[in-house]
Amino acid sequence: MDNRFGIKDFFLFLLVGIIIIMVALAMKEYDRQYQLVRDLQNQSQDQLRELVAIHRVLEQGVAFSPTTGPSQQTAADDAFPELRKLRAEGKYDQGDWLVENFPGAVGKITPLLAGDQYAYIIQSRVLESLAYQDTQSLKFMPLLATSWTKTDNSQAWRDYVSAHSKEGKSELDIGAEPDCPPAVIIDFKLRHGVTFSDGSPFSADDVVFTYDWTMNPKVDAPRDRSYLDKIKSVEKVSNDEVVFKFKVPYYLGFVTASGMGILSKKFYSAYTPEQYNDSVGLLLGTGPYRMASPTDWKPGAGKIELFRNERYWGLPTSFDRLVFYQVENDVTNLVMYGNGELDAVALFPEQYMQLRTKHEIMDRSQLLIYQSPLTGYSFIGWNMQRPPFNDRRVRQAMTMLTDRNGICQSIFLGYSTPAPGPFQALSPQHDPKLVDWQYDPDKAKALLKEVGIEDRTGSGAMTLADGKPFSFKLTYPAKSQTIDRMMQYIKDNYARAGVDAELDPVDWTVMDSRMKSRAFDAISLAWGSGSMEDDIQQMFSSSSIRDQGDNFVSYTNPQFDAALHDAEYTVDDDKRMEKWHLCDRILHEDQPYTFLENAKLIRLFDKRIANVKLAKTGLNYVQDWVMPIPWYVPAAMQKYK
Amino acid sequence: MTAGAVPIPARTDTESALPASFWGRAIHDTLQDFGARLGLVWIILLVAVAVLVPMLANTEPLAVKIGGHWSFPAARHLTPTDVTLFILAAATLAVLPVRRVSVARRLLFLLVVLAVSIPLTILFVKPPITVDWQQYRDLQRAGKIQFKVMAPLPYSANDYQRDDPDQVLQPPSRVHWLGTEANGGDVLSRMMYATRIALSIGLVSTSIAVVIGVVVGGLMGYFVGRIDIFGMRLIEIFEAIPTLFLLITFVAFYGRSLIMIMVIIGVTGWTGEARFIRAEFLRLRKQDFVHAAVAAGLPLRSILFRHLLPNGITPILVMSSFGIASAILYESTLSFLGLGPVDVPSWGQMLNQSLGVGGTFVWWIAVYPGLAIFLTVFAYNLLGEALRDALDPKLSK
Amino acid sequence: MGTYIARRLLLIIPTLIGMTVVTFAVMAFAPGGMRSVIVNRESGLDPRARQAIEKFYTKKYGLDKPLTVQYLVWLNKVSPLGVKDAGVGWPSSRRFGFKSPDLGESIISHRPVLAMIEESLPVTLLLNVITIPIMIGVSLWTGLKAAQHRGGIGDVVGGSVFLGLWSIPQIWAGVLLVGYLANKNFIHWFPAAGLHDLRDDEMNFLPTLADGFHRGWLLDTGWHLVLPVVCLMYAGFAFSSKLTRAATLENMAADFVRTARAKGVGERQVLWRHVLRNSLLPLITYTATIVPGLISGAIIVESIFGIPGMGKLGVDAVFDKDPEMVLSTTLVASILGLISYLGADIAYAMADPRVSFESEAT
Repeated sequence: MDNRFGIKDFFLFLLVGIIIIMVALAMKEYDRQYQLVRDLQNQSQDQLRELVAIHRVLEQGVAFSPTTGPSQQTAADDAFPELRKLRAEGKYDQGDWLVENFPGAVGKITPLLAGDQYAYIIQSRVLESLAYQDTQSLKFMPLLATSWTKTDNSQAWRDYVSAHSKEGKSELDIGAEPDCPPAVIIDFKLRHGVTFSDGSPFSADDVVFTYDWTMNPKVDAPRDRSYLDKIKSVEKVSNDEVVFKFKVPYYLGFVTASGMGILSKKFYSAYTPEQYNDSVGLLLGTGPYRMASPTDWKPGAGKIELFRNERYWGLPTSFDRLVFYQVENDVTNLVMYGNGELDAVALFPEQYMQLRTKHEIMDRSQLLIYQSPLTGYSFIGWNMQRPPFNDRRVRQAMTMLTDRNGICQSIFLGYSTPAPGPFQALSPQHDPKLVDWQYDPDKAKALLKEVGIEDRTGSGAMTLADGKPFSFKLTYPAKSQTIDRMMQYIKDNYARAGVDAELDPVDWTVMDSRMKSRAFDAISLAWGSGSMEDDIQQMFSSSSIRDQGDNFVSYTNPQFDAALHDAEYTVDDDKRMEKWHLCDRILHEDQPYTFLENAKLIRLFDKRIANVKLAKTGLNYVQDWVMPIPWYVPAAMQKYK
Repeated sequence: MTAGAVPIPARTDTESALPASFWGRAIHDTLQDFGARLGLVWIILLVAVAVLVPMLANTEPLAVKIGGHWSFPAARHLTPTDVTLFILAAATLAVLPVRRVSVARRLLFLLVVLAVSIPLTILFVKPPITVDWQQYRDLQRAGKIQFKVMAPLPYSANDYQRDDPDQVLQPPSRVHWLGTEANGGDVLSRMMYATRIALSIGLVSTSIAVVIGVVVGGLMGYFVGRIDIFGMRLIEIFEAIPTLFLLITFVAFYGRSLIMIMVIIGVTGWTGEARFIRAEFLRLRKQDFVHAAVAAGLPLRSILFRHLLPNGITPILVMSSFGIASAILYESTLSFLGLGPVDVPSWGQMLNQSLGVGGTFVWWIAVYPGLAIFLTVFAYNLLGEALRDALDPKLSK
Repeated sequence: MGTYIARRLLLIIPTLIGMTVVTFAVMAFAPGGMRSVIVNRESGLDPRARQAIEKFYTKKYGLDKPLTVQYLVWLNKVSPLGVKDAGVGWPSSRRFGFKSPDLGESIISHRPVLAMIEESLPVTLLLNVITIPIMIGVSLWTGLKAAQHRGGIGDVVGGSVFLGLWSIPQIWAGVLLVGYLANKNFIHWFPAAGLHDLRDDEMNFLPTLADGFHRGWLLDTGWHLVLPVVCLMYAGFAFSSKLTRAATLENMAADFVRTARAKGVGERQVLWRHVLRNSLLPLITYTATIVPGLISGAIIVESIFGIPGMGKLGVDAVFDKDPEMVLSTTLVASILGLISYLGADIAYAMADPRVSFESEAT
């Protein structure tokens, strides 16, 4: 018979194929173990080097005195007064790990480059800034800087600006001129004895380098550059003193200056901007944690781990290790928490309702439900270039036709509150005397009748003065089921009164182009918030209408513009709050947006974690801020070694 | 499955029998098949539901007496689509028993009816633009209703029962026979309204695909040469890109309107028909009788398009049946991935809800809509199988 | 045959170019155009920084250049033959020649596309490599049996069952499998998501029995794969089974089989030795044609089961509107598809000497 390729041969090949695959898999497995062994080897080599260095120092003889060392010069310089107090009481134990989850993969952790907030969280543990904000008192605490002085030079600055103002030149441009006196000068005194995690010393050079590097147009950091654009210069005065000069008397000046994550000049200047931009894992800082290797991290691994920085200058932090899984799937995330593999989890209202009855999980957990000023608000923006939304009575009526309490109850199951305005109810910027609009369809209909919009035909549908039906398109991003349901609810609200809202879910790009070209009737969206004192200029100032700015509803009120400008340029904190209240009142009357709701956060933490508390920022630990971790696990309950 | 088939000559191109009896025979043989009969029953049921749904599931009462005064809210809220479907269904039933007119004539009549009724209904049927779903339930609670006649299922698809927020995500009960979904809407009602989407997408997409495929394939088969080479490349391009991927790309970039999705599914699915028509034409061109006809003076064009194409249509019919099934599957998949048509209920979209937020498994939303998709696809597949076996038992492509 | 293969390979190139043009056109003419990716990326940020970011990235990735230029730039990057930077010693700054193809960079994650494909393609291939042999094996067996007992109850019922299986939408099957078999409220035999256990880097490779039964990495991966593979393969049965049945029937009636029977070869021998090989051919061809379909189908399976494969990569790229990602993943998926078609044709030709390459219509 023909010796062709027969069935036997096929199976033989199959068998050989399987064996080859198995061998390949085994090789891959061994490869991974080898990697682990190599990491361990590197670590022990590092430790050996440390020991040798310490030996040598001891041999030479060192005088010990309580004032030597970086931690604390005077009580006023102390970066961690609260935690030190805890430590003195026998709490704030060291040890154990904190295991959390990022619901997405982290692509890069090199500072300034990364787009996603998870990388930001990691960087905030490894890098430090000149000062950080205490979550309860909202005071700024010294960190890499021990003290600072703010000089308000705005009078001289204003004189110069009014003398030199020309058509078309913004205050920012004039402030950038070399002859213009700086509007605000902040002088920071830096702490002695601070080192980066590789042992190299920290000095003013690193602060200047961080600023220069961020502003370098070849570096891939457009977002950070835009945050720092109001700084005129950062100058070194001496090894332990830096001066920040500002182009305009911007109220967020101090926050910006003190919030930069300081990069090591020695470490980072070894890279060209191109190499830096292409890198994925260059992370080295002065902070309490460090990466296993400051250069070798690669994305894609199952978890990201941060180790205790043994060389840390400050109060030793609580957790030995921070572990972050990168599991995208909601279900798996919850299962992991249920299995005790995660120490913290954030829940949707539906998940919480289900989980509430599961005692095996709830008994092991502490539950925190809170509202954070950092969460932001959702809203419907009315396009004031399209009647009838140009009339403020119509906008007020629409707000009164929106059953916001109903939304909070039905869609968010009660885990949300109606938003009173651009500032949250508990925010110092919000005017506490304001009474929020209520759901009042009758009053709304009366208001609409004043404008000429009413049910003329008795069919239940409202018509405008010219007889056309009162009907508009409500555009929103087609992102989530929750938003869909909220829009359906609102549509039904309006339908009851006879107003037809045609739902128009679109995808982000379309949304963005509509917003830019102002081609919409009403848009529903949500703004987030990055800091405790929100800047509403982008959304509501009339200067933000042109050039496709973010005031896409075309809200123009000269009274408001004046109040806003006033607020932004007032350097005194208390006076500024008064001015924010005025802005709040104006927006409350004008209703450029119907402010919808502020969502609450529902979080579960493993019971063994102590000192998890609520604070003015929401929780007493804000992950994407540079700040010491106030949580710890008492020695007796520690789980991971 | 081939048990009841009457033997038919293998080659259909030499059939010069009258179209009427050939069709009749094919249909007769198809109907002999048990599976096909089941499929047909299910499809007819779906069509009936799609047409009659405003009378079957409606929050608005069919007739209501308030304060001694009768009114007919359900009729008042009929949309142009509803009325057009009624008219079309009536016309089909009228035309069905007529014996001596050919199938083509009857189809033409229906098309005319459709073309006339669409603009007429758009002009004359004007339902109110806003609907207050709670209206009659409120009146009922206030005791104002003296007498009412409701549809068998008193819930519309878009009635989210805002007046009773506890009704969200309820398992099947006596009030809601198949339960409610996450927004509060009744599952059975939404499924019934979704039949319209499913059937219309199936029919329209497949028609588009057939038209494009036949035209392109015909052109390729007729002109050969460079057009043929270019056409083959075009076919290969469309076959090489994974269809679902292409669909997702199109929809993600161009938006989720119903028309867009129908067109996109049609535009990505024409290659099978094109290949077939092209192969048929190429084969036929070589036949002796075609050569003879050309020599006798008949233009090739006339032979191909006027005489052979109608006979080649029957296998196209087989492909169409499978095509409708796959169009319905594609739409369900798109809806499942969150890319389906907006603001209209669809089976795939409901399936998407079943793996709810945070991984809660809602079985009644998973089982019933999925079952609907399955039965519909199965029905079309059975029909297609039976048609194919009836036409040519040896055709094993 | 060499010329045939060469011709086919060359013909693949215009097809690929055509495909990428189609994909590029879809992206470019959509609302927002090529800059959609930046908008998507910055969607959730506070308004302050957005304009600066948009300006920067538009410039960096050349998204404001004319469309043909953008396409040609990408094409040049990807092709192994194109314009490249000249090395030291060349008079001009660019020259034309062979170069390594660069699949570009994802604007969303700033990682090279090649790296991301390298991570995800093996996963999808793993799924397919397991699915295909099982599918071939099962459909071969059922097709043969059906042909042997043609018209019998097994044949008819089997045919309907397979048609039914084919009609089950993959989304439904996946949802039911996860909902009922991977649900801790129900039957929790299988894991709900993912390809590996979370602590897979701490596992041994092979299962160990000491100290209790530990699954080991290999078995653990297999356990995670069961449901996805089932979901992928059930639909393929119907068609390939019918195909095999039809081919077997045709062959059993053929002359050479009659000769064999006349020679006295046993029925079993006839089936396995002679008929089987010939029946295999259409099956192979059909299998090759569904490889692109499996990569597609993997989209649904990967989405339901949370498996990080090519399907998911492609869909994420499309949702993000990341231009180079979309183009390059489409390219890779299509190359695989076209090569498998070619492979099928070659295998068919090798197995069946009756096939002549001149009968190809193009």
